[in-house]
Amino acid sequence: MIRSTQKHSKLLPLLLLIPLILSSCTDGGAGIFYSIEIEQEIKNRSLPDYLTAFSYAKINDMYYLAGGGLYRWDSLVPSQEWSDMSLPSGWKYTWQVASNETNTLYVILENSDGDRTALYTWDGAWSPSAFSLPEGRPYRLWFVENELYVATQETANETDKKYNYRLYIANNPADLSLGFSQITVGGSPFVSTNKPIRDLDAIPAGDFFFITSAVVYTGSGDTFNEAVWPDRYLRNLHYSTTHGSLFLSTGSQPINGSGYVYEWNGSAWDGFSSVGGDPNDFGDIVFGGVNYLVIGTKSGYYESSGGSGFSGESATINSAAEYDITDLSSSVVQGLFDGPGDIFFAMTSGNGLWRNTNKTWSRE
Amino acid sequence: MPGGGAAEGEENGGAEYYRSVYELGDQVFNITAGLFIPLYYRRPGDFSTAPANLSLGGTGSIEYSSFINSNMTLGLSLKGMFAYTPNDRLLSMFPITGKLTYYLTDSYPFEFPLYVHAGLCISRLESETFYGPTIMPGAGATWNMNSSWGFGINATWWWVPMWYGPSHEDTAKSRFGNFLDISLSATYHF
Repeated sequence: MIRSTQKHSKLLPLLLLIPLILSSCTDGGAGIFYSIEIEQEIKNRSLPDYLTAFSYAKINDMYYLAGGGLYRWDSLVPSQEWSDMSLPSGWKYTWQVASNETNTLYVILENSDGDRTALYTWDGAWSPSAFSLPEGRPYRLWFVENELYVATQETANETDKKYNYRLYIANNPADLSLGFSQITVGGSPFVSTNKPIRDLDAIPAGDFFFITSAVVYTGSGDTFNEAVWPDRYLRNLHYSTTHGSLFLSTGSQPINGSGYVYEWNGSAWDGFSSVGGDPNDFGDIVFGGVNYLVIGTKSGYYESSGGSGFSGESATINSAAEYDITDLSSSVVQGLFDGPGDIFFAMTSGNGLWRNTNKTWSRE
Repeated sequence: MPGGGAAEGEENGGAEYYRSVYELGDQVFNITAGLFIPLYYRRPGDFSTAPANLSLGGTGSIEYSSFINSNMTLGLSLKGMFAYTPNDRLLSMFPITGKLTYYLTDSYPFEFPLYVHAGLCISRLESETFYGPTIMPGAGATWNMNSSWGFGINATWWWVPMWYGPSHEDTAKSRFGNFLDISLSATYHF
């Protein structure tokens, strides 16, 4: 028995080493301990987790977000939470904001029944605009190259559910009491039936462009003409400071099931890159000293830099316990916008505003 | 039952000697539960340390072993732990190890096991899983209520390296985890 025991004893180190050696050969995960070591507590920054946001604006260091309510955040105090701004009496919602980036916020307000909208300005106090439309109501606005454009919707035929869409330009954005002029296309007042005006942007010191879901128009001031367009299902326009070009996104194509992005070459649209799913709005962000053009889609977001095409980006909140949705790729991203330093934001449909700080996502 | 039961003296030609408490082939089943105390991470590059950044957690194990001589057992152990990160992410680790135990039995019915685990540790954090080695030395104190049942307290140091080779893209994320579990145990001898 003693001999047997000694024999066993000699085998012990080997027996203990076998699982150690086997397990040493395996690898996986992505630095679990490292991930825990650098983790910092994420605090929800007061915005509703179910927020849907389509539109933001910036005045100096203050950010404004339209998501039903109107919220603002002082980027000079990054730890500060978003605050809920009071809307003028009689108005309950806002989904559209724009700014001249210096002192005036333009806001489309909606009543509680959702059957009336109005354009207001805010510069420390609310002022209703003198924007008196012959018919219809404002639903989109853009402040681009010192011009303010407003798109309106009106019912053309209640029975057939037909709607007309028009575009107006402020005669003086600094003084809306001077009124608006309706955009003309081909010399006639522009009216689009059942094809909403989806987006508008401009090449700096160059032409303005706007799109319906089917047609691209180009011009300036209140005078536009049809331009060429690459495809159907037009979605968004964006002049990218990253690439120095105007980009156009088109919706999910039946032939391959993905959206597509085109780049304006001065006279035509060049194919740039495909993006998965239906694309939404673009944004330019600076992160880690690198400029990126980003685009929200129905499943997360894509980014492009250095002239290369778009690649899908993963975005996961580092907390499973606090949030129903922890993966941005499972959420509809309406658009993204740059924040101070290495912060940028993703606006979602129904899943709040997401903040990326040094590659860590949290929900505001 | 342990061979010969409790320590007992026998007369043999006038010389008294003690039979050992345990004999080859005696078997032990052990179950533990206790606290998991996160300590620190050590970076293999510069051997600096960083706080474990985890909450106090829980741990437990089931173990089976057999005596290979009068003082040592060799067995298998399945342990588990959980703890939470600052954002309530759940870290869980499941070491599957071989366990070698040396028993100091001079003070029977009190005995003092010294042991070391070595084997595989499966670590999970949300959807990430890491399979790596682990070595866990420890010590305990057990009171044997009778020849079958004993109850004790144990302290086990968990050394869990998550090491990526120097050519691996995540080599800078290599960390050696150091944790301590303090557990109560119930031991059954048969």
